[in-house]
Amino acid sequence: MSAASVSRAPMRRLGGGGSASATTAKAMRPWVVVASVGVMLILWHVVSAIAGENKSNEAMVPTIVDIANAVPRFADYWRGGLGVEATKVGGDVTAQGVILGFLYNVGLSGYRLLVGLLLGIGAGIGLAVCVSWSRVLRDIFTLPGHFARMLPLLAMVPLFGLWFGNTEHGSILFVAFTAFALVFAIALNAIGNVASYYAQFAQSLGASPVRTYVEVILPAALPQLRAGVLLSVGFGWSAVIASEYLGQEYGLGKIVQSAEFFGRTNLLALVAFITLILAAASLWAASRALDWATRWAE
Amino acid sequence: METAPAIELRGVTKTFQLESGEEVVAVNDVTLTVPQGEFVCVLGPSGHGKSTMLNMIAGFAEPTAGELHSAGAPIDGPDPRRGVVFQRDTLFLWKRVADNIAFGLRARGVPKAERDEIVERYLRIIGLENYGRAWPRQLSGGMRRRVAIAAVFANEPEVLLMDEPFVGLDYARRATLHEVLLELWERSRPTVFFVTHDVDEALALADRILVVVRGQIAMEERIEIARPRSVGDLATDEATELRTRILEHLELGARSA
Repeated sequence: MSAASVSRAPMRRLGGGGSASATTAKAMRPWVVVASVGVMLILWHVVSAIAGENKSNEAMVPTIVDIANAVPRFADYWRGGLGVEATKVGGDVTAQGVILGFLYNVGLSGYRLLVGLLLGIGAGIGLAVCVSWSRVLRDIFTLPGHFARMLPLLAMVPLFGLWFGNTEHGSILFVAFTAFALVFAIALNAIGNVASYYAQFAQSLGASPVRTYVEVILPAALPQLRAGVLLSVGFGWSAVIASEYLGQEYGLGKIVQSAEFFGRTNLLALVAFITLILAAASLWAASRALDWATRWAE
Repeated sequence: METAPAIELRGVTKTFQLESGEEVVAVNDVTLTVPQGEFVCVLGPSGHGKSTMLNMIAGFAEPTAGELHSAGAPIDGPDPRRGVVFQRDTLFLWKRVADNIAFGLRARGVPKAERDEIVERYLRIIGLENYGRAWPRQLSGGMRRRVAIAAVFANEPEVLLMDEPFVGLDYARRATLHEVLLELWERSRPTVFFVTHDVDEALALADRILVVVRGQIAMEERIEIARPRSVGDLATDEATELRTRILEHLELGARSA
């Protein structure tokens, strides 16, 4: 008998009786989904027709066709190079320019997000571990840590601009701050909820305090940390767009800023749509990574 | 030269303060000596200090008064020489079965080759040689208890502290685990301090039975029945008379609680 076949009943129970929402999702009929999407598109176009145009003769609510027409605008956000001249110095709008502009700005925003998240999540978990370890650190950092969570994040963007200038560091640190504030509070709670008998068992087997934290307390807290990590990915996208909006030369947030400045609602909608897809994809990837990391959980 | 007792309590008292300010005496001036290699079962009503006593011997709690020693040295915290099997399922769910058994060995710096050999040996002894790569969630309750016991025995403790380790298991699984436990105990002969509510379990396992009532040792009885003890061995007049005496003490203790 294989190990995997042993005692899977609890998991079957969870999958069977415990998830009414999953049952509902499975029961969804495709034609209803297609019809609802169709109705949404029709409503969208009706609203677009009613809303009219702005002073730049752009649709206030762009149609799907308007949004598709905004795709070539990505060429305007290619910095130049790789044999393709930037449009702001007289280069033509080409397919290569559009692709390079898209990849460059998405890549840049993704890079800022990834580095910021790694820093913020690492710092949040690290400080939560230190605070739960030492009473002195707990007294020093708990209140400021929770205070950081309550700060209005988007209002902090200009402050980060003043502190770090319109630099790469400013954007990355703003994303890191956003993730830190969320993860610290959740990690502190998750570590505090780890049953004390795990640590006692580890210590009675000869584990040092460091080994007990690294190999016992942190993994035990991981399922509860999941929510914090996923929330920080979602908020991280908002943070990176906001920081680029106010102080970067390139990135999806910069495209939003200049689209707003020129009243290009279709480009705004296109970037929003792209960000939505990227955010969903990154949440899916983070969720799968966390599923793998907690594959042992009951 | 006379060897120091594996466990020694001298005038040990443990009190707790309730939120109301009331003071509760969990262990009351207990003096106890357990020689090396002895299998002691501790019986008593719930809340009468058995687990508190075990926690102090494990080094998880400090006495309010008195002294605790293990092998002649004062107990001042957890120590791998005193392994603990808890009532709760303490297996590390995020480690595979083999890694759970190897945890203490790694913590003590045992080289990998030796570690692997020990883990394999213990997996074989507990009958789970094909489950080394399994996650704890893939095992039944009885299998998990076997792994927890193996994880502690693999660390070769001098003293084994067991706090109702088989509670909640049916008779058959419990009997299997008794066999596993006694087999492991016979191999290395650690001193065992086994807390239980089950008189028959104590009679099946112990060299000596202690009955703890209101934080004190109310009764102490040596079991002279040879091992392995069959159901028949535990149904003799002598065993029945002993069981009755123990139950009377437990009943008195429960009434006085």
